[in-house]
Amino acid sequence: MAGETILIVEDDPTMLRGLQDNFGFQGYDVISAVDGEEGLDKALSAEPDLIVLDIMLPKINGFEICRRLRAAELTMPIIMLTAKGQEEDIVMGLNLGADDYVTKPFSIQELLARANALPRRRGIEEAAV
Amino acid sequence: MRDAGHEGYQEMSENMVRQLMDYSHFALASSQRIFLMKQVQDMVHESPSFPTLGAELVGLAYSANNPIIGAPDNLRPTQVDSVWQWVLPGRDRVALFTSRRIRSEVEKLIQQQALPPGATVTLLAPETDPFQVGAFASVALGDPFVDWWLELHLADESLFESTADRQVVIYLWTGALVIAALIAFAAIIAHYMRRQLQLNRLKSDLVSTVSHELKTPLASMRVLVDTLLDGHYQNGQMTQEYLQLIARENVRLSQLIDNFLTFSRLERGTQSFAFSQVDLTEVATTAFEVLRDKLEAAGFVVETAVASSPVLINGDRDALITVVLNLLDNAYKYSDEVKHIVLRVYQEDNAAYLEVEDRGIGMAQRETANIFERFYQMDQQLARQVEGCGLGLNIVKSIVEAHGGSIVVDSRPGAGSKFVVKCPLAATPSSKKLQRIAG
Repeated sequence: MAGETILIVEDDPTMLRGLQDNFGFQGYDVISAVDGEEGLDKALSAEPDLIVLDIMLPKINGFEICRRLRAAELTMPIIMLTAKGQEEDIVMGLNLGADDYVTKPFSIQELLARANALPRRRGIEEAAV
Repeated sequence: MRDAGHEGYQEMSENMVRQLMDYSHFALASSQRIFLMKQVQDMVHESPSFPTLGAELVGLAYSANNPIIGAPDNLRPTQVDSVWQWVLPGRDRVALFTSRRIRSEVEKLIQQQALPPGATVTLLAPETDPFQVGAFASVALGDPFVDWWLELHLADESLFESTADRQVVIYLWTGALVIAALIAFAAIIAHYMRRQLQLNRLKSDLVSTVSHELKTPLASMRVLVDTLLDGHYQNGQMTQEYLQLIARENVRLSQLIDNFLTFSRLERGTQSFAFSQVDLTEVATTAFEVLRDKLEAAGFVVETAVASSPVLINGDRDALITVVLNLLDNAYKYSDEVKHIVLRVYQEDNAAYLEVEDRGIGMAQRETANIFERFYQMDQQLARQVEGCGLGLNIVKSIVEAHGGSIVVDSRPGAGSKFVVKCPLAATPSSKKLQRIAG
């Protein structure tokens, strides 16, 4: 994953710290945001290769960020973090253009595996076109 | 088609009119009956009037607006006298209505009907009214309202004779009222359903908020523990840092659970306070010490202006500490750029005061009226501004009121908020005696 940029949007400082470190170990260049507004700005300006997005965020929620990024025709993979295991949240996230989700509390290994799989999958799709 | 002179046609249209008004033998869907009535009116030269048409139209409009309700097919009397049940289709819920409730709703509806002057209609529920003497006509409401009757009373019996054949008209009036009664039922049930749905939404909001709040620290702890287990951190200092973060999340989780439990006990009225003479200055200082690390780590400057001599009140020390903790936590959550909190304890005019003032985001006047309501914060739904579940201030208010005190908030958007708790001072020896006599 060396050279790939990941944006982590998460308002909980402890969770953010854990995610930053782990994606850092994987070789990602990590940028982060602690609220929805900052997250959206950084996503639009830095155009990261991957976004890990919490749903419950101050100012702008994760669904809205997802919708606006897709509306701006940005296609980078987005993984949603949700503390609610409710089906409708997940469906809503996926409908708004998220590529995958994990439900809190999650195993960091699972999140890393899903994150690593996504750009690859996208790469295959693009190659196939 | 229109040929009023033709004998066969005349007979056919009369037959049609009779059938359309025969509710007991000629079963039709409401929409079909309305269609046919209108067709007949249109085709027959001397347009027959259908007195039930108005009621049919109302009924149709109602069921179009309330598609899930429809006719109360599942309404049945229960084994208990005068209690009716309505089983919601496909659900495990049952609505119960008393006969009296049903009667009053139907009567309300009957009163709204445009009856000819001099005519009154009464509804007879089973075993509630004896048949009144002098009813002009009565009709059974039929299934499921077995033994329910509508009675038509006329001030002047000649009222109907001039207009039409009496039996038919009376029948039609009462037929219309049966439909009206069914509509009334649908209305009661719709009302009941709305309330149920609101209650259910509130409950599921609470469950999802609570589970979100509990899962957040759990999720953080799991990520950190997994990271340590993966052996990424070989050096002791980083490990130490992670363990401290985990410990902090653990404390946060405990505080959350304490708050939920306190709330739940207050809600059920089982929270018992252990009252004794408590020094409010000591309570405030203890609570501040608990949060000092968290506040200072986040860059807060906390000013304490606590009276130098004890401010004594009758209270539960632990509950009062919860009050101060929740107020400080509230100031912490709602501070944005300026992280400044003032904590004051003083006594004035025979009352004890505790103030927590912040220079945070503040709120508008209309919001200050609601903030002590539980789950108030929940209105913001997904656009969550801060952590928490909207219980903290509700708990504060409940505890303060249990101490015979009051809490007010003074706040302006962008300027910050000041919460002022006022409690009666502990009784002096002389008034204590009085209190004992009174108690």
